[in-house]
Amino acid sequence: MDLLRHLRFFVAVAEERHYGHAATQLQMTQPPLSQGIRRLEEHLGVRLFDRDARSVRLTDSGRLLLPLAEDLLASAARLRQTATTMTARRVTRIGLPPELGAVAAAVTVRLHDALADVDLDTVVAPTETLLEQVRSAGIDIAITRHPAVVDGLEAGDVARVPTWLLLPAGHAHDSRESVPISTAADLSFALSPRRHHPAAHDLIVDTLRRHGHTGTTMPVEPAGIAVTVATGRAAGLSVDPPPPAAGIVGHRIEGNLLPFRFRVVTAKQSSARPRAPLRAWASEANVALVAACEER
Amino acid sequence: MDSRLREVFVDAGVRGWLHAVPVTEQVDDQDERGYDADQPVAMASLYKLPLLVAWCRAVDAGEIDPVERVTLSQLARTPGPAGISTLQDPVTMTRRDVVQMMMTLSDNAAADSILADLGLDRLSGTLAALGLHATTVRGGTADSQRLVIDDTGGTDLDTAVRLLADVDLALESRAHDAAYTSATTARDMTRLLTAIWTDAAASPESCRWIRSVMQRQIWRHRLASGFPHDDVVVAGKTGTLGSLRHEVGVVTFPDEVPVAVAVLTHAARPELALPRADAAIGTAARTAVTPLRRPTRR
Repeated sequence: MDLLRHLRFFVAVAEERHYGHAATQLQMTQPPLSQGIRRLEEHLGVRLFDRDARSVRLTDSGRLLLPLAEDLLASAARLRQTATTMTARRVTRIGLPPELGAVAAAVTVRLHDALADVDLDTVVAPTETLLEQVRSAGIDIAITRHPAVVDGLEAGDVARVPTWLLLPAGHAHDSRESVPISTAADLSFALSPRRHHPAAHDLIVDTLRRHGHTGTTMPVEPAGIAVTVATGRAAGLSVDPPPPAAGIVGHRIEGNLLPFRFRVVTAKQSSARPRAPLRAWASEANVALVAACEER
Repeated sequence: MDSRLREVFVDAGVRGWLHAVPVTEQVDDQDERGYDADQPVAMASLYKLPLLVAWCRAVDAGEIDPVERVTLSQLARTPGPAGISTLQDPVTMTRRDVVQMMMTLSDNAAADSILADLGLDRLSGTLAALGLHATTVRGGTADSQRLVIDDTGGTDLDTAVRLLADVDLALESRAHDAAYTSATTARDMTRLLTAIWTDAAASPESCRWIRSVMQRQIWRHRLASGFPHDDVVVAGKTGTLGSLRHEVGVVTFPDEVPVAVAVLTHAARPELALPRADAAIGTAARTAVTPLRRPTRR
């Protein structure tokens, strides 16, 4: 007999507690399902269900066997899934943090050239989310804000991207391209929410204070930072120059004291998908990231 | 795993490990809190706690005279931020005072002199005798410092420490890796604390002395920061090496069963000054200890 097929019957009836509903779930009619359960009971030499006119109940034996049946079905599903990934064209899932701005495009283009035989699938999410997904093998490679907790993961070199200091146009008239942090000493700073990357956030805040910033910080989603600056409520930091809209001026920061730092992070080779050449992809991503950052 | 502990560690930007358990001789009492409590972690200066216990057992056995005077030369003195480590001249004091310097200030010079006298084998024997099978001490503080110097390519300790603290270099050292250096688990540390608090680690007299020495520990920014109450006693031992920040100790509320707690952390940021990470040790400890609090049985 086809044991897996019959175990599916068993699990469906156990879930639905009703032959008719179970048959619907399995997209079959009731008679072959009832016969199938009987055959399975004969095969195992164990009664799985007690039936009466109104209900179907698991026997004690059935209750003990159910989790084992579920395990077998789950293993079978994993086996099929793994076989599928072996034959399918590889897709590398790359996670990018929103603060990477236009550097993201530069990295992706370089990576696309370097990994010509691989399809790239990009996901944009905050660093903490990306790290969770790398750990659960939801994505293969992530570029994350540094510093972050990368315990148990492989992490590449630190790439620094200088930031632009975004100021409300009316704040202080300064024609220099490069200004000291103190130019914004009394302004609130619009920064991505701390929970997106607590350690990287705190490093920025500590650096601001180290250089005399006395204002507060304001959590703003990365996409909203330019708007917040334009309305005159805060200063902001961005790897990209300000949009040519009215209301914002961008300056380089003297001494490049507030760079955004990024790193390429992957799962350790042993844990994640065993056949994926993660290390090679990660080192390409690392090269692409460092090159894209150096262009800034 | 406890999601509230996870939040505390994530918020502080650290990887954390924790175990907390009420101190009791009753083996049927299984109430505890853990967060990767059985995962080995590089222990930094936490090795000084089992070293103290091993030293006390040697005193109990009559092999060491605790009031004998010893002179610690300034030559070949293990550097460190506090205590004899920072002094310029030879220091003469009794052996038990040297031990107390090691525990209250985490004095590296004191610790290495005690380890040299006692020997690693003796310490390993104590770990085995106390059932601390997940704990391995591979050397003293000078050995960890040598690892850091080798791994950073620095020429001396100051340079090595500076390189290790550079956020842009993101250097790793074997001194932070449980596979290469002295290591323990959070659960082994609470097991050791329980043995000390139940007079099982050494003679009752020695255990009482260890508890009193641990109460005099001067650093209050970690475990004790989670229990800022004048009537609550926090006795502990810290461990610090670069981005590793640990403290293990026992928290005693009046008329309550003492709770042993071990919090080990590895910070994302490499800087030496990281008050949020220190305070997270207190917050995590409070989060774990509070549900374990109960009155003493009369």
